[in-house]
Amino acid sequence: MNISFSINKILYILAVAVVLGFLYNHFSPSGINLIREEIVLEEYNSDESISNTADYSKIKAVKIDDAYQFYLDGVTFVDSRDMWEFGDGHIAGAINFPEIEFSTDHPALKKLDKTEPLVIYCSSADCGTSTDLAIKLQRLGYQNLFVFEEGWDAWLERDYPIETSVVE
Amino acid sequence: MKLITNKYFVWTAQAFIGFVFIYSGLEKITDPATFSDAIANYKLLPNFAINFFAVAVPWIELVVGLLLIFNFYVKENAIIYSSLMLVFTLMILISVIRGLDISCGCFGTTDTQKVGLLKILENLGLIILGIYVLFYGDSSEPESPNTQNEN
Repeated sequence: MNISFSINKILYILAVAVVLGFLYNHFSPSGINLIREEIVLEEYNSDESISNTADYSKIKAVKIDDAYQFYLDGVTFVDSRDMWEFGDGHIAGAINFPEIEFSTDHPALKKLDKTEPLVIYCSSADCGTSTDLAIKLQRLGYQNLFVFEEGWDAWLERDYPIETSVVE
Repeated sequence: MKLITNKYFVWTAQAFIGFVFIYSGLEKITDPATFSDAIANYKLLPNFAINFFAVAVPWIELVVGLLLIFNFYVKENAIIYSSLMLVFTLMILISVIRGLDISCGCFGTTDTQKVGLLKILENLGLIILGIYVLFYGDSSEPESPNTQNEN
């Protein structure tokens, strides 16, 4: 048993790997920008009309009061959490479309209209899957997307209508 | 005790963790955008640093995995492997404590496992293997000094 090692070799291995990574990223068609684009959703203002754009920055963030108004107006809610969390409790009438299971032939897509407004939520402002799902849906041509960032936790706190369902 | 120090037994452990890293690295290399999203979900790194890691980490995994399997610089690679695994595990632990509802991203796009206790235990097992390889791995130089690094 001996644990003698060379720091120089470690640095050399790391350097070679990092250089290979950047070279590959530069020439690969799936390469990414070196600085990540930050996604900050523009906030929805209840005075404005719902516009149709294909730019993710036009996916609007809705606060709880507006989300509840949307709910009362019969807008479709999409729950991006997994099926178990959805089963334990979700906004009444919401459709479950777990972001981690996203695929272009997911059965949930058949229930969603490309032009109707959709409000997407996950558990709280920390989860991020609602925004990710909104961006993916927009790439598929969905035009009226809203993200309810405060999500399920805030909805539950306000005692707004919820329901549970049995996981198949 | 003999089994533990047996060089074939050590190499089996090396090959196992090597394959784990190669698989994990390749999955991320093929889809860096998804890996970048996965890192961002942890909310631990500033935005400008995320893609640096999204590009570099999978290649470190791939290179370290290959070197471990081919028995090159075993102790050095075991240190890189164990340190990376420790950082990954800490990131998961922090996320669990913060109650983040995110997928682990550990094996790229095909991995939908959530961060949680199971993932932490899995990683601890992989770290123990790494430390075992660090202690008992082959410390001799590669036999042929002229052998080219296959990466």
